[in-house]
Amino acid sequence: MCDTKNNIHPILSLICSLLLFVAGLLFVKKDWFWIFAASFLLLILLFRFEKTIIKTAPFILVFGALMAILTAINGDCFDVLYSFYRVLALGLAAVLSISIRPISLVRSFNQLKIPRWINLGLLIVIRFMQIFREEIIQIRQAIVLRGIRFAKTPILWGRAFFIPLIIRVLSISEGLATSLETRAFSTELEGSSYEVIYFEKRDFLFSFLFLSCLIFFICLFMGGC
Amino acid sequence: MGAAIEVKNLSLSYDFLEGKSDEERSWIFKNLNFQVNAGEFILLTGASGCGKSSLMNAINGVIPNLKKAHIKGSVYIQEKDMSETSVRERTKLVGCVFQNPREQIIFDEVSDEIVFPMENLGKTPQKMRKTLEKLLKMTGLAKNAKTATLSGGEKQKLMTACTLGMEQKILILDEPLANMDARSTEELLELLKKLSEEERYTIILVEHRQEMVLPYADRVFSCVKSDLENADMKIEVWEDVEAYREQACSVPQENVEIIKPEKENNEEVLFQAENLDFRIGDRFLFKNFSWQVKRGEEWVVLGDNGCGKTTLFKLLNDFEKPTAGHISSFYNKNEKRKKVGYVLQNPDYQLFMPRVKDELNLNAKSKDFVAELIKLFRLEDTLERHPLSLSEGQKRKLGFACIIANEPEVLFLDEPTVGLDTESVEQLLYALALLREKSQKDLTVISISHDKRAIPYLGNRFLRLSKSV
Repeated sequence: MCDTKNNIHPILSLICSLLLFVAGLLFVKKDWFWIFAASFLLLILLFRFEKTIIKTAPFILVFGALMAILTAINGDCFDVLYSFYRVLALGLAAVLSISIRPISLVRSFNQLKIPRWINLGLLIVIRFMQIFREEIIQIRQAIVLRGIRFAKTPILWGRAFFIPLIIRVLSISEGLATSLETRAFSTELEGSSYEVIYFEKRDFLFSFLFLSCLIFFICLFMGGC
Repeated sequence: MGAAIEVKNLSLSYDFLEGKSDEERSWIFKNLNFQVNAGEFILLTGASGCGKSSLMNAINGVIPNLKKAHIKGSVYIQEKDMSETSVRERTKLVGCVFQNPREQIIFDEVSDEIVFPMENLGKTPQKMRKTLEKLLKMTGLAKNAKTATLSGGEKQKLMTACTLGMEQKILILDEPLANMDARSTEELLELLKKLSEEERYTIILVEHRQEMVLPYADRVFSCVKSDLENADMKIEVWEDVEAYREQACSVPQENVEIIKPEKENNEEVLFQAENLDFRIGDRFLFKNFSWQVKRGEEWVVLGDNGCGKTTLFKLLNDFEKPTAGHISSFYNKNEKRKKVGYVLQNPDYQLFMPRVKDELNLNAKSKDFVAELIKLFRLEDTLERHPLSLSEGQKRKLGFACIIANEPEVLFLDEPTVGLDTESVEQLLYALALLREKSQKDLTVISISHDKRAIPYLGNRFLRLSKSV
């Protein structure tokens, strides 16, 4: 889902994503949260994340609306708004992290001599989410093809959805593990890198702008505004 | 020079309960002995589910390191005993291409996927660049192509390229040609032969469509039913490939009804594509494509990997929307689900009932036809079993039987014979002939296949797609 190759240094993206998420959750009840969200949205737009934003926006809006509706059952209008803001913070952070090319992250970790078992975990998690999405699409198509409709036979629909899903997930886990092992991925050996991931000028610029914004909002928060 | 691979008294059982004596276990194979010399090209063949993949996994160490099984005997690779060696260590000596390439892809882009194992082996960037260029040229894959958008055959090519990039001198390829088009198949076989002749690579290739591989093979290892008690498989070694070809490839296909082209002309158009465009990213799969299917027609869609065959099926079944142009169908959405049958490439998605018999009866129109299919596919002993506990070949046959038991008016078949031995292919074609008979020759069949054994019997009209812009 990455926009361009090496948009932002992968480790910088990962760290900024985490910071943005934590800060977002912290500032969610502040009147100026929308300014915080808008500022960072503008910043990531400046650094050409627009394609990822377009792809994630529907999920953020739907999930945000759902959370807001659920909160509305027991909460007041402020709680509803905060619920939506939390999802928004998560979405903003997600834009940065899902833009990372998995291979770039692995290469950066290798360069920094970070243990390869961390890479392995990350690789599997990143890949698995994508596979999971593709599998759900395939299974839903297969259900339609066998003429099973949720409205008519919900239990059968459940069977037709969950059994192949579980079997596929198990089979894919096994396939991925075998694939890594038989392609010489090792936690003990260091390996080499096809390309070196440098920290470039745009990364410095992004770090500077990101930290400036973040420090500004932290000061605002500490100042009791 | 010693053997590249030597197997001594190798026995394997999935009955791995502790405390059981060897006599009590059921064995996949018992006391296998063979050796493969450096530079040899071996074709390993045998019936679906006989244990070929298990044998290959026992050689490359996936069994018992990653898959649990009870194993006895020894495997020597380049004269080293591998009993205490991990898969990772064996990987430095043996390269493997497995079935189901879709489950093995880790990265988003083709180049990253190919380069990854080379990085793990610590190759220099210059060397990696050179090898990558060579492999991309060989497979015809685009460097920055997204792995998620590749077709089944292209994924298979990608995983083969990954293994070839690692440059181990021993290669084990488990049905690498299953989804490949004829041109890619020939190119890969030529390359493997060249590697074995010029660089003394040892190749073991598992394949059902033996007639394609036989011209390249030095010897054939044929897996046949064992005469040992309680063991399913033994290996017959054929030094004379020609003698093997005469014995194995000249079986007449008596049971298969060849389609009669002189069907009554029916003008009812069931599917029509008009000026269709379909684009994935920047690449057009279809540009201004028009086609129509009339009732009773039997089409086989042919074309190179990645030309859009499965996408065309998805477009006709409303799973994809055209970028431009129009698709119309004789059936509305509800009718389509009742009257159109679609056999997917991977049967795992279509099987979910607790027992094989429930699966077959789910949408079946006639119990007699189900009984006929059970007998034809020899599923009698499996009726009480869970469908997903069957072997890959049995699952494929069951998936096919479940769809045709519904007696559809239109049948879409996406690579129905992949991974099936010749006997199973004949069963499948015979079942299709039964369905034709039942439908009073009104059945419409649209198939995708690269399998020369089946193409003449799947249809009498051919649509050849080529890679678009």
